[in-house]
Amino acid sequence: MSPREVTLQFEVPEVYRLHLRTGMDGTIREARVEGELASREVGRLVASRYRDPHKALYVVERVCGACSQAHTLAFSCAVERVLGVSVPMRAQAIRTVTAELERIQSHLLTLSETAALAGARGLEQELWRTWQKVTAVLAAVTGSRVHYGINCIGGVVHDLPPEALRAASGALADLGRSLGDLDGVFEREAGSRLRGLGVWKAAGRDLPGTGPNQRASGSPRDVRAERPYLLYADLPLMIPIRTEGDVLARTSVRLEELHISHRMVKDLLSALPEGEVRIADLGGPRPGSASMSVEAPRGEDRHDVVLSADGEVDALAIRVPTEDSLLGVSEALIGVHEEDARLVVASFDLCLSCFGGT
Amino acid sequence: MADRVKVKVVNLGSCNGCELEILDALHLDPDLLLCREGDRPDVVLLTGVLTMTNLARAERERIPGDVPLVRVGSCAISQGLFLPPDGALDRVPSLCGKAPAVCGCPPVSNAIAEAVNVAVDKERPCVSA
Repeated sequence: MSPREVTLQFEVPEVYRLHLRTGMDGTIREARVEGELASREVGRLVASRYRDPHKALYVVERVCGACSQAHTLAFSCAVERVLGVSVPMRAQAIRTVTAELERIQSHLLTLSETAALAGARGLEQELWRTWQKVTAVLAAVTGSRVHYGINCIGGVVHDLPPEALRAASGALADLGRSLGDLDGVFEREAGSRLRGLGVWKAAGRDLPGTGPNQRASGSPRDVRAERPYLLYADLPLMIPIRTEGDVLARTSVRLEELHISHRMVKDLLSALPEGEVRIADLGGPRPGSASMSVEAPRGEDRHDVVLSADGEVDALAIRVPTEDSLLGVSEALIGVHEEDARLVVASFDLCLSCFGGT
Repeated sequence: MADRVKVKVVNLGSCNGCELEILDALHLDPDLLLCREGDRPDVVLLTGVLTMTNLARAERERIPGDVPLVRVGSCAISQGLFLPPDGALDRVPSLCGKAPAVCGCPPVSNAIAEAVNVAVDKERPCVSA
């Protein structure tokens, strides 16, 4: 039987084309994912038109709407390393809170899409309502629910006054109740369909990168544990690991991470360190280069920054976690029926906005 | 639910911020439905940076004609901060006609839902975020 080629195109929430080579029975033999976006080339744009690091943050934030905190955090920390400054503890706590809330937001988005494609419409609606709740917490903490604009070079833009803290804690408690209802929900509602589907295994090698996809395939790697930044060295960081490597394992890891992040945010908000939220005087311009990696919701996000003698950005290179996950998708799709292809891809949480934005 | 408004999204290169709010709009308004592949949309939402290169794709996506094309977000309205203007914006009047545009980076979801309803119901006033 001769194979055939299929190209599927999807627009929301990600734009991509899935090129599949299948057997006559629809089983995938080869797979390739391709984005279809206007390249925004944020790195080059910053180094050419928005060279002031303070202004560049606004552009860097728009690499991705789903993980903007990760990008501005990596960029800010890299610039702060060049400048040789240490961010106040209270600012580090607010940055950590925002990063973990963003992880919850991003995971819920992926889980919601996975539920929809698995045919669990009720679950998809419930996950989306929970997504709305975490964006309410983000709005209480940062003032915005997408593109938070909270980081600045040397700290955070604004403090959390008592009334904002009360609003955030109330919204967080509401979110916690919803998260409690999600325990084991994929197992119950779609376990038989998701178990053993789209398996990505290490098979005797080290999987590239970090992130929930790798942790669902047995890799323990997480930048927060390997190279702690912000307050992660002092937080009780638990890293859920599964070894099955299938769609169910990827959803399970993300579900567990929701609870872990929620607990971290709750602990941090209940004991925010006192003090300033940004450095008043960053000192004069200082040339140099630095790299910073953070554990974005999808894995390691690295920014390499070069500053000139007048303090402007000479170069910015961004490496996003989707680069590592693309290999996983291509491998996991082999042997899957083409009808399940989109579900498998969704479980990997690819971000072609990040990929096309850098 | 036969009269639900079928919404198609054409992403020309956005950061996903607008898509998050569009998804939220589709959850907020039960009369809105994401258009399935092959179905004729009632309204097309355009997100991302509009350039001369991808203008042809935007024009192709609204076939068959008369489907309102609503630009969502700063990138689709003014090319945002990503690219120097390349003339694509001059084509907007012929491309979008009098369909509303929803400004913001990203716009809020209820403004998007309202713009979709305005686009398919000419009686109602234009809105923006």
